[in-house]
Amino acid sequence: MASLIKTNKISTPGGEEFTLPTTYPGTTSSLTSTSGGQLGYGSLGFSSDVLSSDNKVINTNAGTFFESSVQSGSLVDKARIKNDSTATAVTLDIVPSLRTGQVAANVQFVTLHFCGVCFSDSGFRPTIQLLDSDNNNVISNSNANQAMRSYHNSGGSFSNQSKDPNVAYMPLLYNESYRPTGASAASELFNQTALRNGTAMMNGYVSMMIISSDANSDTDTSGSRFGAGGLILSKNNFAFRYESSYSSSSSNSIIGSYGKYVSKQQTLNNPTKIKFYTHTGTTVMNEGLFWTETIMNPGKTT
Amino acid sequence: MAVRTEKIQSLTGSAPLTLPKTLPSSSKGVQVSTTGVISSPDVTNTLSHKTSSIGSDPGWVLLDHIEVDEGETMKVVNSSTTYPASDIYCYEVHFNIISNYNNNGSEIRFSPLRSGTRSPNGNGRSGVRTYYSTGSGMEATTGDVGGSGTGSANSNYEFFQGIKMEGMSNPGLSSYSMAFDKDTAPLGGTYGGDGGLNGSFRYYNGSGYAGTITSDTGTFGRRSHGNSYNDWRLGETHFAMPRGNSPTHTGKVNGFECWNQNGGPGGNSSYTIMGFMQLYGMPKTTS
Repeated sequence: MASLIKTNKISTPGGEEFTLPTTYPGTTSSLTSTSGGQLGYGSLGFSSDVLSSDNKVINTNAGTFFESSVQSGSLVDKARIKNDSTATAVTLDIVPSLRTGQVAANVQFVTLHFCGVCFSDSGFRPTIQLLDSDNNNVISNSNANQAMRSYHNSGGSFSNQSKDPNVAYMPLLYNESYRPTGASAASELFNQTALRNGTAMMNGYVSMMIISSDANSDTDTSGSRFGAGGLILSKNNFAFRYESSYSSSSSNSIIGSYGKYVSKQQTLNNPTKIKFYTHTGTTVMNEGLFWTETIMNPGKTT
Repeated sequence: MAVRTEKIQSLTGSAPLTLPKTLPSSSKGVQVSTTGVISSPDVTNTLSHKTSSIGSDPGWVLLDHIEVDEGETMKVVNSSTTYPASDIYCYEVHFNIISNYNNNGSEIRFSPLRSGTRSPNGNGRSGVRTYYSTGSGMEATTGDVGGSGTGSANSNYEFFQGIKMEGMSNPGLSSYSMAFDKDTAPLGGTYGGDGGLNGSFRYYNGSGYAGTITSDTGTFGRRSHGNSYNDWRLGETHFAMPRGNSPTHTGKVNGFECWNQNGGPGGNSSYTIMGFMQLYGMPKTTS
């Protein structure tokens, strides 16, 4: 017979007392203790939530610690279009649930991923815009824009552009498409198994490094010096087949990349949302999965 | 003074806790089962996701991880009942693959799996792949085209990537783990250790229109044989989809398998591969 000790408390030789629990846990759990020594059952291991830590990050310049917690990359928002409806734009949040000590301005690195994106007609011009907390466009014509775009097509041809597009948005390379027969979820390309010649589709990601809303504006607000105002860096990669009509022979595929920075000699509001839309016409998207991932930096406060 | 007992119980409760009989080999979290058994297994720090979830919508889910010391093939399979293949919108596969033979160039072939069986839709595909190479900078070629058979035949691949095989000696690199042990790692072989293939690819998981799409990192490795540093391909990414042929295989992909072009089942047994593969899935939204 197993020996059994019945007691309310157990203690160490040093006198620290632990009070035993009186029930079993509902599921396998870790053994926990309060500061008062009450033993109990807690969550087990990592959850599916973001990895986070309250350990402080050393700010070597100031010799102090950042007050905010450290947080790994986290999924922030997700949306899917299933061909049973259409969308002119997909707007996703980029600010995760804030933990104690965090502020929205901690958002440092944002990536919008898109996969299996189809459009209902030719004429869709995939475009990125950032929105501030009041849903105002962050990128405007008055920003100083620099951009570099390049792509390769399936024949190996290369195209490179390096210029200032001077537009109030970030255009991606264009995509053309046509909608599958039947505007329903059942006819969604994601679930189709029959032949559809040369189906067009767009995949890729847009990464944004949000440097600052107001970098160094106190010392230089009039010149073009780097860092005179808000600054956002962008790196995009995408791959797609572009078709405006059925084709069993066309190889119209592209892998491209696109880099850009947006700066302003005044405050450039911190973005809180990212929007994927067309900058011309009214063509809509009928299919695709979109999601945003964000990394916070407790040292970025403006 | 230690009190010897197998169980302890609160005076005011009816739930005795059973103490473990052995000490853990290293510091581990203590668990209590639903019958009160205290233990310290290795499962307390299981990481099941690469990114977080929003409510019921998950981010990247880790579906499989393998580490192979030496074998004919390497395979990762989505066996999840929570996120089965039908729920995965796209996959991401991370890998480090070493093929140990003779310092020559070769290729690693990849095939999607349906119900665990190779089922590539290679015929009638078109696309493009890009990479940075030594000497020529950014380059592109047409997308890979493989076979469309079913099963373990060598020709049943959907795309491939070049690799320089290891040719290390004293001793030969006969297992992946020995490469990470300074007491057993190979010491001989000029330019030893520069072979292998690293990186990741993403794969759109449509029922018929499935294929590689652009990746966050692409893949990195050498393609040619020998000891001169030529023909590196860095950041190689693929995009290819069925174009003019009906998909031979339909249904959702549930995993991926890779092997050396000269090895694999029925091939030359000297062309082994080793390394690790991780399979992540991005579930379609639950709403």
